[in-house]
Amino acid sequence: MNNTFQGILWGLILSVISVNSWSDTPVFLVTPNTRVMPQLARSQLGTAIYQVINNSNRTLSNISLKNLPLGITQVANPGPDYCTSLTTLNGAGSLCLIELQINSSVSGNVNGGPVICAGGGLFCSQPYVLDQLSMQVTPGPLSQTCDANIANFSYELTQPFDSGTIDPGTIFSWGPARNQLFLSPSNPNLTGCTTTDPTNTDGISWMQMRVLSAEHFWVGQLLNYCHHHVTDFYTPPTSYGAPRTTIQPTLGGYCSTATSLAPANYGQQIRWNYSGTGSETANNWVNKNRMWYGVDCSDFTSFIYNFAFGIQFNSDTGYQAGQANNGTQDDLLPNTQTSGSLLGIPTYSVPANDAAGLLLCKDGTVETRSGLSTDYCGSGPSGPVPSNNGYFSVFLYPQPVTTDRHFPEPTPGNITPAMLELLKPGDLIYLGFSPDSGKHGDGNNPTSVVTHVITWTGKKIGYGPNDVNPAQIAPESVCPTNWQPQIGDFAIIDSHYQGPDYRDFTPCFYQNNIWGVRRVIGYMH
Amino acid sequence: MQIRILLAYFFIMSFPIISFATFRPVVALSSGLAITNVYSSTVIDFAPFQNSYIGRNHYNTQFDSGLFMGVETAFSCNFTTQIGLEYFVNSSFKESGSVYQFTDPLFNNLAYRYKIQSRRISLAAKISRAFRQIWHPYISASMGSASNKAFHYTEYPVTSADVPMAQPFDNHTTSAFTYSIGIGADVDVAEHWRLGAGYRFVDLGKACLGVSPLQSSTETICSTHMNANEILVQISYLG
Repeated sequence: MNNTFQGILWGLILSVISVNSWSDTPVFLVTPNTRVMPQLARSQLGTAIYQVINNSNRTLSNISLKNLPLGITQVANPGPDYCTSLTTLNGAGSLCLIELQINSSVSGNVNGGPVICAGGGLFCSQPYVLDQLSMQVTPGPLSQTCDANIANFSYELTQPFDSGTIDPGTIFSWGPARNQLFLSPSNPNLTGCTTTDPTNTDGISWMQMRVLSAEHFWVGQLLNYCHHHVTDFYTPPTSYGAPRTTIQPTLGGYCSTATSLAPANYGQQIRWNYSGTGSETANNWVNKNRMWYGVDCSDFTSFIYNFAFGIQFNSDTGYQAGQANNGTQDDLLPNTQTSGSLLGIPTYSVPANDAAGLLLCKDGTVETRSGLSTDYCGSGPSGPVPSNNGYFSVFLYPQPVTTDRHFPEPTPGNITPAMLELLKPGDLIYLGFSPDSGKHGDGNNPTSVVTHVITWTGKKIGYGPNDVNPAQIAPESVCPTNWQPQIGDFAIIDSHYQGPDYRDFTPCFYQNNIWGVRRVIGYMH
Repeated sequence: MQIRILLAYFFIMSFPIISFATFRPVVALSSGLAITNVYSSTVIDFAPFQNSYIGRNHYNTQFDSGLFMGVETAFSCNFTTQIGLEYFVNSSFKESGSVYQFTDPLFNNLAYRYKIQSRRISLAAKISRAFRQIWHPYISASMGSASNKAFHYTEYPVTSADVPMAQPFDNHTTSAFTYSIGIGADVDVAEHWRLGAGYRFVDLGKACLGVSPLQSSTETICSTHMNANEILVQISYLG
């Protein structure tokens, strides 16, 4: 029995016996925003981001990180929610983020902490045990191959996620715009692992596995669904004059405030996979600021491609799908393009404004792009545009005459099970709904018919080594009767409902509303 | 104080008897259980905040063992008295309790524990009456000095998020007046040997921990009324 466990056991025994009403309130509540990668090769840097709250209801002083092990240091981060000094925490209820960097060559294995104290060491707290720093060092040297570093995000995590631009700075805010991130240039050099050649199967495969690894890493951070661009920004209690709980679902700064997960009632905590112990409680989610971190669907996909490869594209759902950002194409569908109105492709003039890769055709190939006026799926190189319903979409052209153009009529049969096998990991599937339609999926995008984006994993729900275990599948609000994971269904990843999670690719929601699919891997740099 | 006066009277009254008697040397080893009040409760100032330390135990039971060396003499028909010095030491008593940070039960984040060892040297006396020549029921009393060491103060987190204070309370030894009164019986088991058993009440005085460098005051955690009820067995050798 190790000393820590023994100590806690004694504490529990003594406290339960000694007081009638046992309560526990750590002086500082330290919760993870971004956990350190669990395993690092010697010489790699580890990064952990924690939110610290002065939980004492009192003004404290002389606050410091206590006994940080050798090799672990607090580093500055220019993000708006990071402590520039721990005096920020003096006030009752005050909070900030701290970033810790772990030099694995010096620190060796890390277990426990960080400990933060006030009063010179009288009042000390650390994260709950499952949230504490935990990292194992493997003997070096670090392999320099691409394949050995598919899930190595050590270098990415050392880079600030937040740019200095606040979007926008005068109304309900989405917070900081994302910073351009870069692949590791040395030890290991991963810049040569990516490819823009679709025939480079090694490069394509590496990118597909890496984007799934990146999404898996962020699913593990248990973030919420929020209208933010980055993961380390929280909506302030008063966002440009409005209490954050009053922010409408279409506005910047909104976070999912769901406190009862329909079709819930299966005994879960506030977040569906919260354990109910340690920091994973409803009280911490609601009252200790945890629910105010997160990203929405298209900010998740743009953040992930930036995080995994440094690839930039627009974080707005419709613009990411290729619609023009002047509002003229808000109802445009892949199969309703005309020679005068084409969905966009990356131009790299302002990378953060680009569409995400190229649209996918029904046969699994990408649209042919020899020029903006000649894109097509399924018909000859000379056109025609529109494209004979050749795009991977449930929306056909022409729509029935009676159809409201703001709410196109889906033809689910246009996507067959065989077509799903043509999708590749990392493909982005855009879902089409009309704003204010009152139908499922309506809501968060106030302008475009494109309201949601998900990432195809290519994996199925099951118990095999390459499957997604059904226990990892999050509940689905839109399909109340059959959200439960079905063995053999495809699993996708999206930020929706209560944040980034694996979900069942259900026919009732995702499959029946595919606006279009865009492929980034192999087609963007 | 009344008990102290009675003890003094007892010894003074014994001297004339002892002075005309025949003496036998006596060595006795005693050991038994001591049920001792170790309760502690205090508020300590760590300006600008205070913490409450609220004990759990009123009583803790440990072994108490000692050695008596003295003389025995008869001073009346069937009555004998033993007088001498005794030294007793206990296995460490344990006191534990809860820390309320800010004196606020909401911040019941730590439990504490410390140990107490009392070493006592006393002038002791025992008066017994012989029945059927081998049974020796007795009453006993002692008074002397106790050296009470409070040590190994340790805090334990209630949950994994809590961390003990960085500089705990120091070890400290407190000197105190101690006395005892008891009752029991010995029995002759051989020409020079007696076995016995008895009960006694012992006032051990108090035991206090030292201060922590973090505190702004001199208050400290004390077990202030260490009264012990002891059940002892003893073996005596009489020369």
